[in-house]
Amino acid sequence: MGIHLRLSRQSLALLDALLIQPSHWHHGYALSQSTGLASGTLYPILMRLDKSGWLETRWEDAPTPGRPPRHLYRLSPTGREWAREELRAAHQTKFWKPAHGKV
Amino acid sequence: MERYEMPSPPQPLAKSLAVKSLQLAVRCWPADSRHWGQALLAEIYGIADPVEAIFWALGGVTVFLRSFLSHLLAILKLPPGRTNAPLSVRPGSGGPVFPRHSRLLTALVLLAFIVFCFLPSTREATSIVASSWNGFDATARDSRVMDKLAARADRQKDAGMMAFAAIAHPDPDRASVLADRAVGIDPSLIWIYASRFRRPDDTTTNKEWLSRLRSSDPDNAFVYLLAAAGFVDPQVRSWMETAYRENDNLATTALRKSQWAKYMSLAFQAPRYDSYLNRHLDLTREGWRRAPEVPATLVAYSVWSHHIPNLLQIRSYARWRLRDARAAATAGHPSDSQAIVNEVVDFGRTMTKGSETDIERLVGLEITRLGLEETSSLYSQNGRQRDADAAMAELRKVKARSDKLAGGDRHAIDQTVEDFRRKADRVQASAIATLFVVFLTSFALLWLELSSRFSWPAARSLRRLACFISDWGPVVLPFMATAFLLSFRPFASALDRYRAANSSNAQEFFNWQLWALASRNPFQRLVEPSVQPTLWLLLILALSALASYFLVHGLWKQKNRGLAQ
Repeated sequence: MGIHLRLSRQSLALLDALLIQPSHWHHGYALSQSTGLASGTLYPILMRLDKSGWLETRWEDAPTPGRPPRHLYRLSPTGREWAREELRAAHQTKFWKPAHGKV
Repeated sequence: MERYEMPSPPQPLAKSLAVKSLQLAVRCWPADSRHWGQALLAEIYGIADPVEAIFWALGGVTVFLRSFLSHLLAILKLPPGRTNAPLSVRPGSGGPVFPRHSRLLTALVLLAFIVFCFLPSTREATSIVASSWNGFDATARDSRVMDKLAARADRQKDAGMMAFAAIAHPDPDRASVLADRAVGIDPSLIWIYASRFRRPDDTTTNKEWLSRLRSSDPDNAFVYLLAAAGFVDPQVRSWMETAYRENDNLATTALRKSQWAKYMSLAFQAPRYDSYLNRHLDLTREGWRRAPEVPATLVAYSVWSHHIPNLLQIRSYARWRLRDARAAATAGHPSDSQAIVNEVVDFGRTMTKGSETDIERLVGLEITRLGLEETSSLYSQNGRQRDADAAMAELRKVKARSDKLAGGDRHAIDQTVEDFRRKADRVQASAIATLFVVFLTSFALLWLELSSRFSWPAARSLRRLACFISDWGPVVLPFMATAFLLSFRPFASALDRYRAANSSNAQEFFNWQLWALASRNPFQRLVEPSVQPTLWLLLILALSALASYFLVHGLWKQKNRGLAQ
């Protein structure tokens, strides 16, 4: 399933945000708002997740008139499993504390 | 997502700037990851706060830079002519051919070559050899270098540097202005007028210069010879050429009263001869030592711009005067005749003593010889045999000295010149070979890159050749440049000796070296009718060899294909 990722606290925060509503499609600005990550940090993580196959992406079907369609993201089914494992492991080693209280 | 609303136009300037910068980044984004740029851009329209939009755009530009660098690195790891798009292999074609070495390796080797080319010693060598191809003609850049030097000298009130700029400046009008400034700062430098002197009837500046030179150095025959040269009109020239060849030609009355004759008479009566050559050479050397940025071409220009007087006019005038002496003796005026002959002999001795070049010395000795022959003849006619014998004895010494100067070292000089020519041939050959490989490599690399971009069709053998050149050309180039630099070493050491030495030997050596380089200019030789057939023959042979290679290679491949089927 793609390359192994060395996860930083920022990556874990993003996985946590993507797991809140795993089947729901998220867009970049909302993820930035919920994780507090700047676009320059967020997008390289999204790009790596996409390249590793953990992330599903698509373009907005019905964009708001007068602006380009947004790019939407959610974890793939295997990506969700992997993300939960990673978050749990990080929580156990006290490397990372979930923002939402549970893993 | 519903909370993001359309930004209401008009957008604030900050937001507009943020959008524009991201749009620009998306335009330049590598195609394989451009959709991420479009994703970043799509989000910015939903950000209402301009400051937040600016930060979002800054982050986007950072992502763009990372993507761009990563794309560049991926491209550099591939060989020239290969993109990161998947290869399209046609059945049976064996796939496209690419060089073995990566772009990165090729670029690094080429970079090493470029750095090598920009080393001061390489730059000097290439500049001199390139100038030799142009016959050491000064360029507009050379003029700018001298203008800068003159401006610096002006600021620092540095008369020596200003004088150097004046004698080395390729533009005669500008040089005249600089010469005046140099003399204005230091009047003892007035002799530089002689170096930048043109015909005195050309400009009022030259008339003024001549007058000032005569006032400052009235005992110097050279100044009057310069002035006389300005009055060599077609009539005088015609007379001089006839007088030099024929003994019975007599000057016309008009010629006797001419300005030319007046200045020649003053020159023959002057007690000193100094063509200012050593001062000129010392000034040039010192100027170059202090301003090493001045190209060697300009130094050569400065050295070669020094005047020596019109030697034909000296010989012709001496012969004319000696005929006058004979006429006076025939007319029964032996004392007048003796005075004229003494004047000629004295001038010959003065010129020999004061000359700084062999050619001037030879002319001085010739004038002395002519005068002494006439003296001896006159003494014999007057029954003064002892004086005639003394004149003959001196005449023998003068002849011996003249013969030694003219032919004594001829063999050694010829060998030296031949040696310089051989060395110059080596330099020119290595420079041309390096240039050829530079062009060939650049062409092969460019062709490979463009053919992949525009999908140009090409014969497989041609593509193989381009791959071979782009693989080995960059590797060969540093070796060729080293060979060029090694072949230039004798010339480089001559330049170093010239900069350091105080004797005129190094100066002469330097002159000969540059002359040898200019005389072995391959481009000049290409258009010379005598050399043309040989060079064209070589070119035709090289092209024939190349065509034969392709033919044999093609036939061999066809045979192998036939065997395989």
